[in-house]
Amino acid sequence: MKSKTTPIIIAILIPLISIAMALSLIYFKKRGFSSNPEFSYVQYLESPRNMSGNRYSLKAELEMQLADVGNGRVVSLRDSNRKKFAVLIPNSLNVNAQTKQRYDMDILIGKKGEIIVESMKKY
Amino acid sequence: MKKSIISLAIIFSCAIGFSQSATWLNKSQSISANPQVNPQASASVPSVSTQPAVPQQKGFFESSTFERTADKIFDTDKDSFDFENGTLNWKGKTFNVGDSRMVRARFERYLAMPELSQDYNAYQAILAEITSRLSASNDRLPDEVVRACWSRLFDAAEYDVDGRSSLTIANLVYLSWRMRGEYQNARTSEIKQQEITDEQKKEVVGKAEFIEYASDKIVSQNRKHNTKQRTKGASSLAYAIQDLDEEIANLATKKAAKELVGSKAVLLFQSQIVSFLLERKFQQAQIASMFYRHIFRGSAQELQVGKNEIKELIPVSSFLPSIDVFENIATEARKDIHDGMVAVNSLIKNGEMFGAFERLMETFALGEFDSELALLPSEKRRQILKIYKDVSAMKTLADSKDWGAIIEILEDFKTTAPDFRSREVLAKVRTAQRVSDMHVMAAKQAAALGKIEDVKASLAQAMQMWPLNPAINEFNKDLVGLASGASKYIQKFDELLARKNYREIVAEAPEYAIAFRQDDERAKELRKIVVRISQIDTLIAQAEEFEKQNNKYFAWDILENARAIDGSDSKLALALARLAPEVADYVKMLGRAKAEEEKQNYAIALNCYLSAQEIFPASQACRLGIERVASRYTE
Repeated sequence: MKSKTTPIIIAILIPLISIAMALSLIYFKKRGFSSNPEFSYVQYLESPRNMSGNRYSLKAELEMQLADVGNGRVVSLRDSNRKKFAVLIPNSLNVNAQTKQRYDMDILIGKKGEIIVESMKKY
Repeated sequence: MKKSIISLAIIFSCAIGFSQSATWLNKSQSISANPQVNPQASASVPSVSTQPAVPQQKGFFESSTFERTADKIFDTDKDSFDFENGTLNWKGKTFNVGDSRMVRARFERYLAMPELSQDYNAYQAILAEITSRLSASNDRLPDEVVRACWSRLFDAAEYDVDGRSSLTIANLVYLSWRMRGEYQNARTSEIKQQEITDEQKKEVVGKAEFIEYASDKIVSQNRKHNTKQRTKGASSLAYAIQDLDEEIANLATKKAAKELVGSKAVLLFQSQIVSFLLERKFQQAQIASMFYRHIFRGSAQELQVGKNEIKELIPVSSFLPSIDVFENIATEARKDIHDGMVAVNSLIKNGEMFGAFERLMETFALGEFDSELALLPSEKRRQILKIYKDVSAMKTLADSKDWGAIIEILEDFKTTAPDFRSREVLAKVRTAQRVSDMHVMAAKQAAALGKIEDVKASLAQAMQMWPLNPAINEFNKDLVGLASGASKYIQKFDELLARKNYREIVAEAPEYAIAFRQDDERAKELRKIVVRISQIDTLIAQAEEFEKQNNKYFAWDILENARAIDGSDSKLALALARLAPEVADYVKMLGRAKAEEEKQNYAIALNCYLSAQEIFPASQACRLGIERVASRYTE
């Protein structure tokens, strides 16, 4: 004999699970596609060498191309705090980076303080 | 950015303004006649270029300003004194006052004369008494009253201030009276002659009637008695007629003699009145006119002499000159003179000595011979004489361009004539001095660059503007000293160069340049240093200008450019140190960027440059830094 309460529980659980899934999706979406810590330009400016070898996530707007070095392009960005700095977008990423577009990036701080983009995605 | 553009605009405006001024100066020079000056000489400000700075050529400050100031002595619009013709135009009447040199001399003599020692009021009382008794209201005065007035003229003539002109009038009156006596005698003689002539006429008529009657009788008797008797007495009649003709001629002569005496008296008197008026002796003309009116009456009031002179004096075509007009002119002129002297005394009282001097000159032109001018105290006259001499001296000094002496006089005027327009004159003097100094500076710069010909040209121009410029003398002394001590300067130059004390080298650049005339290598080095320091000085001056406009980041950027020329310059270091606290954030970031760039940490340097650019977006140093290191980001 089937319980009369089972369908009711199922009916309640299904929307709850759906809501939980939606919230988790929104959370992950917001957090980015990376699990790296967020990049702080203020800290970088204070001691760039301390951050050497670290990986960070960065959300920023592409401002202008400063130079084309052999293995990539040096571009200036403006982060969410409106700080302006330069990063290298290697040619190996094979992305069509556009100015005035916002990107979610994973970056690596090089040995001499250079900021290298490892992956980037428009958002 | 906007502020920077405005600042640049101001600088360009200043530059254009300066060049316009220079053009104007040159234009003024071309107006002032001096054929020795090179008309193609250009005007420019000292620049950072390798060319020596050439200031404005020649002087615009000619003596015309002083001409104007000094010529006001006898050339005011009020009295319209014409120096060329030596005439004074007063209320439409033209007086001949003689040439300007003589008028000036008379004015100086008047100012130098001591004041009256006699009682002027007593003198004026006598004249007032005469004019009062002879005034127009007292027509038909008895001869006794006129005679009493005449005798008072001798009293007035006792005073020095009168200049014995009252005596001239008294003599004239006396002459008129004497001629009136002669006229009476001539008239009596004429009456007697008339009687004689009338008697002679009667005799002729009687004889003619008798001959006519006798003739009729003789003709009837001859018919009756057939005789041939003839009328007698015809010859006697002829002689009587001849005598009558003589008497008539005598009468005509006596009439003419009488008229001549009358006319002579009128002519003499009128001539003297006209003479008084033309000589601007108005009080004498006034009194003489009054006497005339009472001595001569009727048709004698019409003017018979000096009509041409009077028509020149009063250029009105329909004007009918009479003696009354003279009196009116004289009265009006005397009122003007009195008003002028009241103004002079009032200005003196208020301490406006230059104004008093100007008013006295005007009054003197009209009332030179008026006794009221003699009343001015000698102390005040001496003060005014000093001002007059100083103004005249300024004119002479301006002609010789001795600006230093003119400044001394202007300093003196602060106490003696505080109302003198010193600022106007001083501005011109200062400008002339500045232009001369600029030429000396240009000569020094040319000397620093070893351009001897330019030195000569600049010094000549400086001399032309201000021959006694002490800077020229100093410069010449330096040149003479240098000619004998070249080796000393070579040694000193080498030492300073080794210590990189470029500023000290530049301070004596003209001397070094002269010493290195035969030393091309050192001269070349000296030239480089002078140009470098000039560039730095110009940039520092520009930075100071931006700093004044509260555009401190821009100022710093300019100082950065100067630092690029010579970072060790002491004056630049001072300017940087003074400005640094004001732009600390920018300086810190820019400094770090440069430091990282030097360490070849290009990525960090680039980010520092970008951060500094955020503080001062128009930064040239940041823009150049970014351009430099961006391409080396990955190195």
